[in-house]
Amino acid sequence: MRGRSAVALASLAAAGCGTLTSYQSAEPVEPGRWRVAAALTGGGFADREQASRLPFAQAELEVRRGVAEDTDVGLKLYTVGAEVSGRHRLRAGRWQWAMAGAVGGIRNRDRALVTDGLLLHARATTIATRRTSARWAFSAAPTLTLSRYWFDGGGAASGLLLGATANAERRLGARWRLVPELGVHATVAGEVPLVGFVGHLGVGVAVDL
Amino acid sequence: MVVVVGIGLVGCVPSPDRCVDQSRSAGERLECTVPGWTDRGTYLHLPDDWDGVTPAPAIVLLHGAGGSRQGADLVTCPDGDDASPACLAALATAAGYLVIVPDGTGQRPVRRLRSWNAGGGDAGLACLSPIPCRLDVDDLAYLDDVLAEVELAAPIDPARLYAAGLSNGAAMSHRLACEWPGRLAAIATVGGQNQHADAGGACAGDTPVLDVHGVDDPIWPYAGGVSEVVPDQGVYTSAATTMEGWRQRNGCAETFVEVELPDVDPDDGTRVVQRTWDGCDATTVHLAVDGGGHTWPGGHQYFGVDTIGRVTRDLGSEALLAFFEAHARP
Repeated sequence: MRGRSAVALASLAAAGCGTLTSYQSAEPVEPGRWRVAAALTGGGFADREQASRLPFAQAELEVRRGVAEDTDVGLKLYTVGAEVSGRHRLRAGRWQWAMAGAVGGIRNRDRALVTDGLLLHARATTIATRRTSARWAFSAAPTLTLSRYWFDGGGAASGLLLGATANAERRLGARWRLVPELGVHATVAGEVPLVGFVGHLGVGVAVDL
Repeated sequence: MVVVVGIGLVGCVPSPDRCVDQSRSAGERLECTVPGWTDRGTYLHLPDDWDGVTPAPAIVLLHGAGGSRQGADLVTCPDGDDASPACLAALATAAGYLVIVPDGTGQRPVRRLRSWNAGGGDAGLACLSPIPCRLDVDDLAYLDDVLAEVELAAPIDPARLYAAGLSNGAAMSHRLACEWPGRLAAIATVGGQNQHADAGGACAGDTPVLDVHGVDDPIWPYAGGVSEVVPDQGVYTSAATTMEGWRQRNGCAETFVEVELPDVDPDDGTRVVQRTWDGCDATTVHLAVDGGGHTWPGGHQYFGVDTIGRVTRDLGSEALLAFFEAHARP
């Protein structure tokens, strides 16, 4: 039962959290261009108060479009939810800086292991990217994520996560990019998604159209 | 786009209702909230012949660890078919009972893996289940609030209030019988023992008990000890220890009558042996399901036989209901 439960939980646990992945650098998509990306992420939740741990797995598909000089927007569909985001580059050059924001949510209903309700999140990120060559760029992104869960069973709860993601971007030819990423987030207030830590490790692939 | 998506999502914000605020008619199942308790909904099944006025007998049905109110209902149904007339809720509502199915405390972040603080944590026995124990959740107060909330919407016959449950829900039912003296007319417990009292917790007794436990239960071992499936849960008490406790508290003699019940389904791999103690102030019965697992009699094989053991088909929820029918508070 443990093995089967673990697989079932891993695929569903993300529905109790939302998405905390980035797979982004500070370099926005050029105006008028599209970028399509996909990623697979695994990770775990560790609740300090409940002394419980749970693995999770998440698949995501994202479309981004450059809408202005240094600015793009995106729509991400992940395992069970959706997120829209915007990114604006503040500084170009070898060191690049960008600000990004996202809002997203999941409507959980009749999922075997996840309580019914609406989970919304809003995220603010500062992305620092250092391009070391035409092929390689490295990014770090401190992140603040506010979540609120309205439960069908009554009441609501909130939580604030402070964390960071770090990724490396490897260009594969003119259009393709491979982006491995890791992230760690800790609850600084509240209890959504948990009282503790969330860690993730994953890999994304993006193509410019 | 952000605004559109945001408005769309906010439009989905649940606006949960209390039972008393909902329209109610006979045979319905309501989903109700309990004020003051976050994310702990309750099903309320109304009797098929409910008139909204006459106090009805009520069964509090408690799920096991890792379960939920949805699971508590389903586990009693043959093949997990919630439309089956053999589900406990269907049988009970047809017989005029309210069936109240509340949620335990959820494990974050998914929150539908729920459990009860059924007590324990002393005398070498684990406190079950670990999360509500660690958080020191007062499930007695919660269930008190659940009943008060139901009472507002559907009057309960105070002489005919019962508790039943599987596993951790069974242990919680034992605890209710211990800590709500004179309140429950009877309990029917499946695959879970009196962790609270056997660990030294106060227990009043004088409550009729029908206790069912699979002799080959791989999750809550019949003989107690550490589960082979969930060893991290700690040490469970045994069926023998719990029944000896109830024998003494219910004023029974040491003698008992033991009979093997009819082998209704010869293909289910189980036989049920019924032990009824003599001379009790409150009826005390144990059903040992030889070959049976961590399962509801006549209910759902919710995991494979190799994981939870077999479901007995030699009896079903009607046996538990018959026990309730036979017992009422004076």
